[in-house]
Amino acid sequence: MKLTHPLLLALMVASPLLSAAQPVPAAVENIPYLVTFGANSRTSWGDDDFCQTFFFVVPKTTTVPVYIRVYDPDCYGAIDEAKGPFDTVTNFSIYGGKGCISDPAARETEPVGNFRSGNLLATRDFGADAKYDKQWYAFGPFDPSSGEDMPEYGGRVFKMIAQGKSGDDGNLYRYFMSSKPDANEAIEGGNAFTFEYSFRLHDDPAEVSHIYPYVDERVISVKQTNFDWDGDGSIRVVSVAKKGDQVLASGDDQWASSMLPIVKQELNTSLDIRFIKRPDGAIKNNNVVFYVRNQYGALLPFFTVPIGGVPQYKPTIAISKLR
Amino acid sequence: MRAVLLRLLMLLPVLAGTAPVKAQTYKLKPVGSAEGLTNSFVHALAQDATGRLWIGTGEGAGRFDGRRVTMFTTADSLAENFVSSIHPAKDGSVWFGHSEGGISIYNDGVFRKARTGDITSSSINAIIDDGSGGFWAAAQNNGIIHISADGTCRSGITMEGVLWFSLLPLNDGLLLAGASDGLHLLQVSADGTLTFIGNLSNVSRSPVHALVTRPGSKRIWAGTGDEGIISFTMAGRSPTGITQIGEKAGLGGLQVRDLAIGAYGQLIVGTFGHGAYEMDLEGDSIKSLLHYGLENGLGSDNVGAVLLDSENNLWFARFGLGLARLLDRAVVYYAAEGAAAEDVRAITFQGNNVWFGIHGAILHARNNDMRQLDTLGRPIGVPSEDITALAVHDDGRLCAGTATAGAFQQDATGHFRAIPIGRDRMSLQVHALAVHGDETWIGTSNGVYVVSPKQTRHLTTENGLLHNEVNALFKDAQGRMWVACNNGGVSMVSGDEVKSFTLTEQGNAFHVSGITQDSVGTIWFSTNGNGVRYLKDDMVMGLGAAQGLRSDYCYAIAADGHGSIWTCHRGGASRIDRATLRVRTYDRQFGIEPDRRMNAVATGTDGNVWFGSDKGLLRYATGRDIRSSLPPTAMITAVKVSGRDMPPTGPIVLPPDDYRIQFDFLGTSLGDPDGVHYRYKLEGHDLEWTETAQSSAYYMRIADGNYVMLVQAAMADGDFTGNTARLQLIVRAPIWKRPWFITVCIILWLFTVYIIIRLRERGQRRMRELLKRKLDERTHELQRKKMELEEKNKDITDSITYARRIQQAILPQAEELGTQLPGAFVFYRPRDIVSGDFYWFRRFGNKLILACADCTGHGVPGAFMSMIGSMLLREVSVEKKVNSPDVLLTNLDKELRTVLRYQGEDQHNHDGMDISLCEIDLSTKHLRASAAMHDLFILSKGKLRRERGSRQSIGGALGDGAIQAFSMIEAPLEAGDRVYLFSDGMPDQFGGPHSKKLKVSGLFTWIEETASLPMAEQSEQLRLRFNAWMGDQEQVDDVLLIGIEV
Repeated sequence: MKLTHPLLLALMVASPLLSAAQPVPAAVENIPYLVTFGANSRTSWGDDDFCQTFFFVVPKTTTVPVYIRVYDPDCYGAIDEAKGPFDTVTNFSIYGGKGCISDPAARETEPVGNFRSGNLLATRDFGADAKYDKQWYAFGPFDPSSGEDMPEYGGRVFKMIAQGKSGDDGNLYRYFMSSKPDANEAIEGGNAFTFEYSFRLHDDPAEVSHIYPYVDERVISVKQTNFDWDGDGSIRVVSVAKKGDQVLASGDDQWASSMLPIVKQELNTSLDIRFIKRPDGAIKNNNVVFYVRNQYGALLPFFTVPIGGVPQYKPTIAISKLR
Repeated sequence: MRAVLLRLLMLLPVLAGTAPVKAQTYKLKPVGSAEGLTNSFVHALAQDATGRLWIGTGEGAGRFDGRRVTMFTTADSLAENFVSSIHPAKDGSVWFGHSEGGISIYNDGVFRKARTGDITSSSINAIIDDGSGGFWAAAQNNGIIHISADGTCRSGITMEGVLWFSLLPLNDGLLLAGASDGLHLLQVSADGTLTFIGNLSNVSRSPVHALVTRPGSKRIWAGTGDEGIISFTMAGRSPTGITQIGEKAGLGGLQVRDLAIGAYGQLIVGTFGHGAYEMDLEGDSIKSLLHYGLENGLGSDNVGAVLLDSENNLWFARFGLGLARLLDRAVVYYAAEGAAAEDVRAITFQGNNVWFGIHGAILHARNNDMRQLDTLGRPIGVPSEDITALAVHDDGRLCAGTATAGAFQQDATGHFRAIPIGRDRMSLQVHALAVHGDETWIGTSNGVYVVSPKQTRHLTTENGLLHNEVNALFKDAQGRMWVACNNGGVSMVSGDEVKSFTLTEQGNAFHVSGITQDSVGTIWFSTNGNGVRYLKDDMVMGLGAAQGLRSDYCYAIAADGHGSIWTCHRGGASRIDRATLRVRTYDRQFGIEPDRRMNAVATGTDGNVWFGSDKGLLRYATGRDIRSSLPPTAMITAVKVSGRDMPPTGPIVLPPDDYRIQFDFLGTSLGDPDGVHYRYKLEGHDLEWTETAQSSAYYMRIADGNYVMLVQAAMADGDFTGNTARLQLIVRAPIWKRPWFITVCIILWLFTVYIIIRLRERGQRRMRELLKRKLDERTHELQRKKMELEEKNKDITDSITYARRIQQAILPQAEELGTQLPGAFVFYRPRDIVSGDFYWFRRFGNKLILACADCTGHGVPGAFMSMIGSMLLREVSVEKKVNSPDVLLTNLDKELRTVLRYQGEDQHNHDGMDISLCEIDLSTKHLRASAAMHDLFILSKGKLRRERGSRQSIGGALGDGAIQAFSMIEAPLEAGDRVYLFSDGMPDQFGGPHSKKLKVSGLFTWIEETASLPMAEQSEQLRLRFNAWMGDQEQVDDVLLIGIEV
């Protein structure tokens, strides 16, 4: 699953936009929170493995300390999803160095094997601690050199793993890669991505969430997989060549997959996966897991700001001569 | 009343209103890209044995020598670029742990990689000595590993899910490991294996990033990820006395990244998020705490590593901002807010209270706490003037002097009221204040006013002052008031007595700017232009720039509580050690900016020295000025030989030539690199050391020889007592100068001589063999010839012997002569077998002819000649009947030459004979004789006489036809007269005591001496004498002597 130079080129082209990429989820994704449940939770609550991995990229030219800030890291309070009394402990760990992302296990959907590869740079458990409720907690500072040097990803990569260690509550949180410990000041040229997105949907049916898998030039077709959609509306794909193709959506505690052909115009662009809730708004606190593989089975990265920008459908219009 | 006043004074802050916040700042010197540090994220710091600082960054290891950072990366054989830990080993090598599990070892100027193999793949967070020459390392994800001195690694211990950060060796083979889940106690067994003893969860469950212990102490400090510093003691295998340091001071939640122990036991703490702390601990209580952070000069709150180097310099690894050194740990700046408030011109103390004067206000710090200052300003009567002098009475009333508005003093309400002194402009210029009991002494441009509740005195030059411009006042320990005059010297006022000391140099009066007294009572003066002076036994001694002061222009002076005298200059200060008079200067290197004007100096009750400057207040905590007395470690860093760089690490061996050589050397001083001085000597070339402040030495035309470059370093105020850096340089001698060559030459020469001798010996041996062979051949030949010769000789001898018989047969018998002449004898002794001498006689009637002949030669030729002569005599005398001796000889001569001419081819032969021939008429006894080359003796009448014959021989080399005539000797004889004929054999015989010829005269004597004897006895006597004369000598010729008696 090695990205090729077109991605790097695309990252370079997109770099002016990347300062907006460091909030995770990003504004263009319109995702309220990431979600990770405690280890004792049911998968039917929307988290298949109680673990979420995000990667943060800083350019090699970065000379400022890097902080990765977590908003509402505790599992307590109004934001988080309680299943009875809050008893969930979530571990946040940040890795860098060799193997951080280059280890194949780090780029898989399941937290098995050596998925915690690389040097542990910081780690902390958060439980039901009101001190951090609706507060930012900063991991760092990190030396940019501490990340794994991956030119194909546009710089040095840090890995953040959030894993529910115990309990059965849902921990909802956000990230921000910052140059300051006490403020969200984006690392210039930085970006973030994941290969499997576990997130909370808005309760408001009017809100449409987006995620943006990047399609490189090798892709012929992709296979989208989603979990625990709960039949909450539809999932559609918009790209430069797709107007909103609906994909197979999963039910409660179920996986669903479907194939999507990729046309030439879509190469080296991002797809826009849109999560369109049911108009009646009957489903609340819906959490969903989503990933996309190409025809080789390799996962496509979801950049928080889509590479190449948010794709816009460009219809092909046939023009005939008026008689 | 006094207590009331003091209480009122305590209310002053309220009365004074706003108290501006003053910021305490520290001066740091950054080390970053300008010095060559290519990455601003420093993860590790360590000082090696040479004093150089190693800096671990994400992009390589940096080595700082006080001036420059030299970066080393994988291009220099570093295992990885990311350096996560550094450990200076006891053997002088430096070990580097890397973020991806690599370990590098730096030794003798080169890096090598430890053979970590697959054992480590994660960050090496700590390396320590194992006490046996090896090392333990904390590999974050791979546990504790062991590395032998040769770089071979093996796994020690690992635990699932545990990350390892720090290590600390304990006694009894115990090892403390800081991990992600707290502390682990490990046991090192005798065979080096590591076993887990237990998790010290009661100490901390937080990640432990640093572990230190104070030398000589059993207390251990653990720096944790979110619980600050935990202090504890290991009692066996159990931790006791577990205490969180500084919890009450809000240090309980520190994210500690590094810990270090200072020179006097203070704990240095580097944190993420809270900067760094320096804390003096008394037990587990913080006695004093210094904080270095974003707001007070450090520039960052993220300090990844801290280090107190061997010079007591404090280093901070500011995360993302590079390295920084606290310029002087003893220096603290207190900069006031607002430019107008920064110029501090006056300072005074009372107990733990300090006041300092700025423009229009007096700032007051209580309990030496500079964090919150009270401002005494305009609301309580402080004039809007520069406050130039301050003094405080024992009851707490503060006095202030101004630049142009006179002096003021607090009243009972705390308000400042003008002190009534002269109102002239000069009197209102106050330069100094002092209190003495209830008196207030005011130094002005118009002398000194002494104001007491009872009276005011005005001391001027009229009272004995040296000058009315008074710069300083000082009350000494004896209660005397000293007055520093601007132009002239100092005056001492005691009661009503004014005693002045005029200070001049080369006719110029000193401008005395300040006075102080040291702990032993010596009075010191600072002067403006003449350095510092002091009184010693009523003598004025001094120090100036020549003795090391930063300048001769001194603006203030004070004695601290630590044996030093401080004086201020523009842009710096000088510190004089009272005991040794050694001077140390302080300027930019110590945080004093060069343009900073030092106005005032004062010593607090704690001994700290406070300086007023145009940019605020500077406190010098002398007690913290702990400097290493160790000189810098000297190193030779580069060698350039005739423009070519050579490695400075080992012996440099050069081929024969003359070289230009440049040595670069370094004495590392991380705090004061400009203060390093050197001395060097090239052994083998220099006889003496050369001292220099330069860090290079040049040599021209270094010829062959063995040299050792020696370099020592010292600080400017120190001695060369440190190490001596050595570098051996060998310029090879030309081959003809080299011992081996000389030895080889000698050996070759000896060998050649030996060979020559052997060859000669062999030649000689061969020659000997050849000679021997030839000798043998010759000997054989000789033997053969000898045999032949012997054979021939025998034949010849036989022939000759036979010839003798023939000769004897031809010669007449001597006995027959006896019958003719009784008593006659013939002494005939041929030299060889046959003789060339012969005798012949014949009787013709009464006449007897007797001849004695000596033919030419002897032996066989003589014999032949004798036979010829004998035959010719016979022929001439008998057949030709010649009876006259002279005619006979003539005929004999003629015949002989005839015979020889016919017989020989040689027409010029000299063969012939000498002969004496006599004719005796037996009847008349008349003697007629003739002789050729012979003489004869005649004994007549008892008297012997010699008759000489003709002086020509018979035969010989006469021309053809020549006839020789011979003289005739005639003598009448009487009976008994004797005639002696003889050949030359006897006279020519060598012998006698001197090996001389006998000569005719000798024979004559013999005959004369024996003439009286009968003929037989005479013959015998002559024979004996001849034998005795001849002795061992060879007979040289045939001998013939004939004697007859008539």
